[in-house]
Amino acid sequence: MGRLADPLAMSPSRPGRTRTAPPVMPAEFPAQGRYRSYMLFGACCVFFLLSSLLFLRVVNALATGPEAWDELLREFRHPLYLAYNVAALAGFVFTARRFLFQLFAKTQPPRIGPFPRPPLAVFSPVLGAAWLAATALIFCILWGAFP
Amino acid sequence: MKHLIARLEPVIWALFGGGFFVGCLLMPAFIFTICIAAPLGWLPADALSYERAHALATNPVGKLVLLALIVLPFWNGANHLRHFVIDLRGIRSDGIVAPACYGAALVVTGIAVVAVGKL
Repeated sequence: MGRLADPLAMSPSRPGRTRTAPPVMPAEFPAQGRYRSYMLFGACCVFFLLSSLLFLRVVNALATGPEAWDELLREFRHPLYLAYNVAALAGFVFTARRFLFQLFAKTQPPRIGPFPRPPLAVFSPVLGAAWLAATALIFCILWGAFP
Repeated sequence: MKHLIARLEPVIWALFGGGFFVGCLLMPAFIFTICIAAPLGWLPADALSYERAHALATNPVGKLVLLALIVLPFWNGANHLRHFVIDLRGIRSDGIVAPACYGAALVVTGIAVVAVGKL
C-alpha cells in the first residue's frame, strides 16, 4: 500500500453521507510503472520554461546588434549550453510524442464545433504530418533554402 | 488570489494548450537549428548571419512567431510546473506556487512583448 494521499486534494466540497476510506496514493507513485512516464512528462516543463528564456536572449541579441548576435552563437558553443540544448531537444520530442500522438486525440470531445471528431485512426497521422511539415518548413527557412 | 486564479483558469488552460502546440510543433526545429546547428557551424555560412536572422525576425510573421515561441511555452511550463508541484507536495503548497508561476509568466510576457517590439 502506498502512502496516504493529501486528503484536501481529493476531498469532496461537501462531506457526503457515506463514510469513505481516506484517499491513498498509488504504491507506484511517483517513479514506477506508468507514473514514471507521467512524471517525466511533467518534469519536461523545465525545458519549456528555460527554452522560452533562451529565446528571449535570442531576441535581445538580435535587437542589440551583430556583435551581440555573434557573441550569443559563440556562447551556444559552450559544452554546458550544448548539453542543455540536446537535453531540451530530447525533452520536446518526448513531449511531442506523448502530447500529440497519445493524449491530444483521446481528449477531444465527440464534436469539435460543428464537426464530428475525426476517427482516432486518422487523428495521429494528421498530427504527425503537421509536425513533420512544420519542422521541415522551419528547417528550410532557417537553413536558407528560401532566399 | 485563489479566487482570481480559479476565475482565470479557462484563459490559463488555453495558454497551456497553445504552449503545447508551439512547444511540440515549432520548438524542436528552432532549438536544433539556432541552438545546436548554427553554433556548431552545420548551417551554410550565411544562413543565420546577423543580417538574415534580423530580416527574418523583423518580418511581421517572424515577430509573431518569436513572441509565440517565448510566451506560450512559458505559460505552458508555468501551469505544468504548478500541477507537477501539486502532484509531489499536495494542494497546500498551491497558495504560494500558483501565484509565483503565473506571476513569472506575466512578467516574461511583458518582457517578451517589449523585446519583440524593439526589434
